[in-house]
Amino acid sequence: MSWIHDAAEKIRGINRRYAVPRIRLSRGTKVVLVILRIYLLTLVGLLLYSLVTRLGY
Amino acid sequence: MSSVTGPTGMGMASRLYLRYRRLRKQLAILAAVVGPGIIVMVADNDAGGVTTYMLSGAYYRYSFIWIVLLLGPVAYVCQEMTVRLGVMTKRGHAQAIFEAFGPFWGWFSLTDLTLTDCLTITTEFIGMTMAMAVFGIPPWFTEVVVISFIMLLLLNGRYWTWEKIVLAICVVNMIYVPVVFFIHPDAGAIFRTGVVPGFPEGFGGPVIFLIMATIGTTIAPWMIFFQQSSVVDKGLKKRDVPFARWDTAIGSAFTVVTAIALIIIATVYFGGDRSLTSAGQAAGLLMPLHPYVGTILAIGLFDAGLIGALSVSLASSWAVGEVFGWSHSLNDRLGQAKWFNVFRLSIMVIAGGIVLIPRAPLGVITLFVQVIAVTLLPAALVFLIVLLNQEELVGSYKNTRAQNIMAGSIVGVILTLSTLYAVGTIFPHLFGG
Repeated sequence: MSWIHDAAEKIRGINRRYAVPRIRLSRGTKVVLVILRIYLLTLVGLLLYSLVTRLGY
Repeated sequence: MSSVTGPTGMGMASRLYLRYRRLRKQLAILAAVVGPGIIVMVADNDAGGVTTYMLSGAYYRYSFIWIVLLLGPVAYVCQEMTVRLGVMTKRGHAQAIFEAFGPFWGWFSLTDLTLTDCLTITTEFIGMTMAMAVFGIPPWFTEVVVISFIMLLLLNGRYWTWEKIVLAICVVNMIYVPVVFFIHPDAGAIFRTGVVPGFPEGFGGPVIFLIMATIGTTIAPWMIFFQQSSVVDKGLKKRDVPFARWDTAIGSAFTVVTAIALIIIATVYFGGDRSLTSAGQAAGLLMPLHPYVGTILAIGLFDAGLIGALSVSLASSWAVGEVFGWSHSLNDRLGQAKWFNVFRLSIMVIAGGIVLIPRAPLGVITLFVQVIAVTLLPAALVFLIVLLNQEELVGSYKNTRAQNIMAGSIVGVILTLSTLYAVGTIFPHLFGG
């Protein structure tokens, strides 16, 4: 199972490398990103609900 | 005569000669730069796209032509931004998102892109196997040949060779265009009902659904990732940007012309027939009655699926390669870019495998691939606009106010329609489907 450990370490490394966003975001852009996050979570939630009900689980 | 032989005439002749030489030089540069834009735009008319245009012709005859005409420039505006971003940052879109917005948006984009691409390639395989089934070729054989061909293209280890072969495959995608001149469509009806904007049977129900499907097939998230990574892998420079814009514009024109040809063919042979469900079925139905048209439709559908599989598999492989730091250039030999190629082969094998599973829910997959793409599209477009407004990233290639207004309006319209489309797919009864 060492490959799982290696993969997890690689992902942690990527997260560390990109932890600090390299562009300065204006307040407006930050608000847009929060709205986008809520929009996407809602859409993904609806999608999963529909997929589960359609496949009959 | 004196104006030709005299000093003034000589001046004019030399000016003309200089102009001719400059034009020749610019055409030579354009020939070298063309590729990413044409490939991404032609791949836009993939197997799913061919089916969408066939259905719109069969259900609503010429009525959707004006929408396709509008979507050409819209796709150009979105894709042109990826050219500038790729040239100036030397980063693919996935890496640019990670760097600019952090791991949350980075992982979200990468996961969604990979999932969408895998499902999109499944639809490409559905199209290709249906097309070849018309000639009696079993699905497993089609898949093995296609996957082997796609991987063999990488053996040469040169982006240039890969690109020229794929451009040749792109030319086959135009196979539908000459057909239009032989089937004698009603030109008057095309202009009356196709070019003049209007909605058949009003704006509601299945019309909205098909319009959204048309938008979904014209502007897709993988296209943004593909062209930006392609521009970087090709090594385009700042001075190439004007030519890369032409490349994208030519590709956009190709895609619109092919889409219109498909709508016309579908109208002529299936106009008003609501029982048609796919381009593969259309090819099969035409074979006994009009064998030449049926054959061309099947070849075109196979070609569309092949270009789609070639490009879509690259979009996510490039993206994953960039983020994981793997060697991910088409200029690398197979062994050098081992993980990049293993990843690409894996998503194609998984996608092809899904098609071969007996009683696999292919209908549900085809439907959901658009919805999942829709979840990524607004994010990808918003990121594109935000990044193109960072002077420290793109310098003088920053979006102008006019470009921002245009791109922002496009995002607004796409966001509204794609949300309606996603919700309509998830809950079909909302639109009377």
